Amino acid sequence: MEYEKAARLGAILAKDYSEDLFKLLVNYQDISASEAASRLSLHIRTAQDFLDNLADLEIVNKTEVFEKKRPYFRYNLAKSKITVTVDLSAYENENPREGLSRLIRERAENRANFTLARTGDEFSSVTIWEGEGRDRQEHKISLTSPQGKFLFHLPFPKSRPMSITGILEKAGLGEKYTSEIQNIVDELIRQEVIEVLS
Amino acid sequence: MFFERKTKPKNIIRWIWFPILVLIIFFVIFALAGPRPAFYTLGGLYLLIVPYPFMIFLRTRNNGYLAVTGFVLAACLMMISAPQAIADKSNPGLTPFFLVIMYILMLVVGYLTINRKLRWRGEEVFELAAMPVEDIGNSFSARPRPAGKVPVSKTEMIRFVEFMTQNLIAFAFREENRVVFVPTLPGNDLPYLFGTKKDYLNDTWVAIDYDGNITVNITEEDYLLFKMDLDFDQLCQSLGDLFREFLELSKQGQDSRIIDRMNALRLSPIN
Repeated sequence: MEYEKAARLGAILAKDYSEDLFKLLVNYQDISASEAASRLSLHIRTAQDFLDNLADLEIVNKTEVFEKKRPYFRYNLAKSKITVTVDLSAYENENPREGLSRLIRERAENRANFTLARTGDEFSSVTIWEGEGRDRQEHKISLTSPQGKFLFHLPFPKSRPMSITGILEKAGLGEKYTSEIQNIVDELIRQEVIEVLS
Repeated sequence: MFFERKTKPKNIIRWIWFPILVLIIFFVIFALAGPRPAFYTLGGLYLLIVPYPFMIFLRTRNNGYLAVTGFVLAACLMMISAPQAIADKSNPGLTPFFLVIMYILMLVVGYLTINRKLRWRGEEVFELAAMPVEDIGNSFSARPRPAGKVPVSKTEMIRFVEFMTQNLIAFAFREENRVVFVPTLPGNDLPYLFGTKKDYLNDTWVAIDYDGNITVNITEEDYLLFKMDLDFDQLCQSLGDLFREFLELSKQGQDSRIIDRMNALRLSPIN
């Protein structure tokens, strides 16, 4: 299942009236939004949205019927079981070593503030100021210990840049951390805190 | 040794304004109210100053500042006893005794000053650190930087801390796993001496942990003490290297060479 679809389903299931509505759907051959709303003392719009969302997710069938000349929809359950499966391995970096040879260093006059951890040999967070004047906002990123150690060894602005591999080595970090390091490096490049020289 | 100064020269007014102000107050009161109130006022002013050198002595164990305390105290007592001696010349009381003590201590303080024993050494530390560093344009970053490693035992560190503090090179903050040195720049000392500043986070510092890792942090304010835009990376590294060198010399019992290096810069004995 796509993540977006799963998230939508999760939101539907989280509604406090969802269980009662499902009970109606299971026990009725079909039901309209107004029938369901009156049965559960809900607003008709709430019941309508809920059922339409289920129809989009193909959990119920939505059929247009006519009462005299007035059309409306009736819903009947299409599936008696709902399974949510999200494959998280799809997010895994396909090639975590890609980009490790990039030469990086801190960008001059960036708007970031690094906070030293209690141990004194790594950073615990980096705070980036975004926007100007009244719109100025603080964006604080808490760092994992390997990320903090990595950034602690990041070359200063205008100094000789180093490859990510070189900094990892200097910080005494193993290869298993490359993905999370690349993640924070990419974020700080995007935030213009780190610059890439090649 | 010839070298090009890289820190901005200090304005002479910084250290002469106080004696001049004291003299002006003395003469104004002398002219308006006579000698007795003038001497008492001067004595009172000296009394107000006494805690400052005494605090420096307590915090640093620098004996020179004990002599300064004695001098200021003797001057204070002399000023307070002088009006009585002037009024009744046949019974000068303890005034001559205080005067002799004051002159002796003045000579001692003068000798110590000329020999830079009373000088806060932070400025010299900065000069030495900046010596090999090039001007490449503003490259400042407000974050600490690792600056190498030096093998050190706890005993050696304790000895080094004592040396650095006693010789007014840096204030030391002992932490669980490291010692943080804050170079003593003139004007930055008061909050540390009187205990109103409990941490060093907004100052320039060099930390050495018990595994020997050196970390350097230079504040923007202190970076602006330099006349040019020095390569910040090199500057931090150089400051770390300097402390490593000092520590190595201290371990070898060659503390005097550290002082000699700073004296060789021939900066003004007063700061």
